[in-house]
Amino acid sequence: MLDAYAHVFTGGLPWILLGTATGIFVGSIPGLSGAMVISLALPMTYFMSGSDALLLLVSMYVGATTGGLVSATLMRMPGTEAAIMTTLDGYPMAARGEPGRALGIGVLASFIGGMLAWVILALLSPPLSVVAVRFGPYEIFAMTVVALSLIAAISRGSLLAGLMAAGLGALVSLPGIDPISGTLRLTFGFSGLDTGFALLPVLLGTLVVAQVFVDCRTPSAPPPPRGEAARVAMHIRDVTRYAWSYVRASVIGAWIGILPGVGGTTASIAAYSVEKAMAKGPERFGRGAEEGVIASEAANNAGTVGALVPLITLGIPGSVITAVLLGAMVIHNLNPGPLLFAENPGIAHTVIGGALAANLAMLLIMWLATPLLARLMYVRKAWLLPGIVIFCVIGAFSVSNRWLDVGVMLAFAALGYLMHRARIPTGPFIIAYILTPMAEQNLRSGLVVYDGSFLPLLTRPVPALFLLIALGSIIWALAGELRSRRAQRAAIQPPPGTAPGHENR
Amino acid sequence: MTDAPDTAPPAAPGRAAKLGFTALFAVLGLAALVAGSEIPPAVYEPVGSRAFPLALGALALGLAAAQAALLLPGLLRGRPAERDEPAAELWPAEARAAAAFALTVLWIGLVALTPLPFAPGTALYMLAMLAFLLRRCDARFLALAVPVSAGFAWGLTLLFTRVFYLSL
Repeated sequence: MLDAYAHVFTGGLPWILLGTATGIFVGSIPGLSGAMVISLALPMTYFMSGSDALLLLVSMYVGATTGGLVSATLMRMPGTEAAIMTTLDGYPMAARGEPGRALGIGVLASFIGGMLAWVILALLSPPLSVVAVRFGPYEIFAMTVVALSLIAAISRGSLLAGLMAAGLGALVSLPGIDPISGTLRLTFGFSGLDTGFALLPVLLGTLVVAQVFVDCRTPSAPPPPRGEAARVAMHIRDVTRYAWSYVRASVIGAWIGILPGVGGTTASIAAYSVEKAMAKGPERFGRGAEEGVIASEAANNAGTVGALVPLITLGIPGSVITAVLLGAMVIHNLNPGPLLFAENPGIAHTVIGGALAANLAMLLIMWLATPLLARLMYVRKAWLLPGIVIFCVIGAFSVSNRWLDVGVMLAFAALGYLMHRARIPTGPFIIAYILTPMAEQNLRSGLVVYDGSFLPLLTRPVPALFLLIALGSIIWALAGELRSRRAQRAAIQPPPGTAPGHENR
Repeated sequence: MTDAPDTAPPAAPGRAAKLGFTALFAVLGLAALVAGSEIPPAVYEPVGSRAFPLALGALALGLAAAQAALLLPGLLRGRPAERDEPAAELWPAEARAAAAFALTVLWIGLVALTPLPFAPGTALYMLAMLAFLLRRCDARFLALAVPVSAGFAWGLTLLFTRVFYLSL
């Protein structure tokens, strides 16, 4: 463990600084997401060691979450989805002439949220991994079913849309050589599909290039008028003044972050709502309340670090970004899952240490570079889009030096665009694409171990509990879906006693 | 004057795209079912390689049928669905995305299938995309965009061929 931490703070430090700075920059530009920058950086990590690659990517993840604060506060445009609640109070503070103060308490909240969640990560992960390492194939299969059901159930849009996205991701993961029997399947006689769809072209196409084409739909708008390039104003006394707000938001954020599929946006909404409910003057919220910025920023950064808990202990990604991080572990042959702590303890502790170092780097970079960021984020996105496509093409080509992978990437970009237009979430697609092979291998191994019997899935306590959770989440989502349909129908129907067309008179 | 014309409003983009996605999903599900049924049955294990393709193919067809059942009545009645932009602006927006996609496919096709080297092809692509996205082709734009495109394309090519040994 000490070796891992020593590496993080010596040889790994340049990657952490680079990753955090890049993440902050990308996160501060509305429309460019953390998932995009991490997917774009994946091909570069081919030439790095596994631990350095993870340090770079985890730092980008932490940086991108924080970067959203800058544009949310100065432009009222959340750079990342998780910063949406920050706009409610950050922008009014900036508008009344306190941009430096808004950024200062936001940066401090992000730092404290990240650090408190890091304590939870560091304390919870080792014991959880000791339990997880005893899991057999059925336990792991049931766990992946829980992750898939939660992600589909909580996904944006309807449950059906989430399930279709997950189903498509699962189908796309099937072509190629079956890893258990060695049989070729679903290749349709096309030798290019013998190794299946490589991870990187699928990720780059669906997450990054598709988003570029979505951005091409709207003509490049001129950048908004420049505001004051604020210097971050942080005060130590804020730590004691708002201590309970930091703690509440961080614990809520970290806890929600640990749950698969919920994510930083929900964490910041929940923390903001709790903070408003507990505040002395709740009417101040939405008009520049400092506790509002603290709740949103502490929770979304805590959620980011919290999401690393299921990733490194169970190999379960809770969001698109952590799914990409899981993909990075697969690319670097790090065997993500319950065995990570047993087989590669150095890597697991590198990720934990990396989260700590990235938070420290974030505090430093945000403090020093925010005035510069405030200028850079006014660059027109049209200047960035062609470069992003070119990087993606090189990244897809670098998988195995063949143009076929670039074609695959473009095909998945078209699919991602269609999904965007159809309002089908891409998160369940990516996560199912990554988790389905794990689910299939463990189910089939379990069937071999238990002589072809499915019964242990219901009689063994852990798989039974996991499957119960999966069933519960589907039922919960179905009930929510029915409630919202009923509410929509009630909203369309006129109230009793009202003649049709009454409202138009 | 008569009341509003009794014609169905045009199908909304979200619903048309959803129908397209559902059709694609159903076709892929059917393909998985057909190709899965051709995989030889397992010999040394209870379910074998065909179980997941068959199960997922059937699931895909079921989900696609459920989605179609939800979409089709509204589509047949011509009920307007949710939309995020005015219909008049919709097709130019789709056309812009399609044109950017076509430009990208043309660039990849040229550098992959013809002797056009990667660096000049990429510089031309970048310049064309910038002109298209910014809707500018004046001298001031070219004075900035040409060196930016050329520098970016040749810089990246040098980096990836000389440092990372890619055969672009």
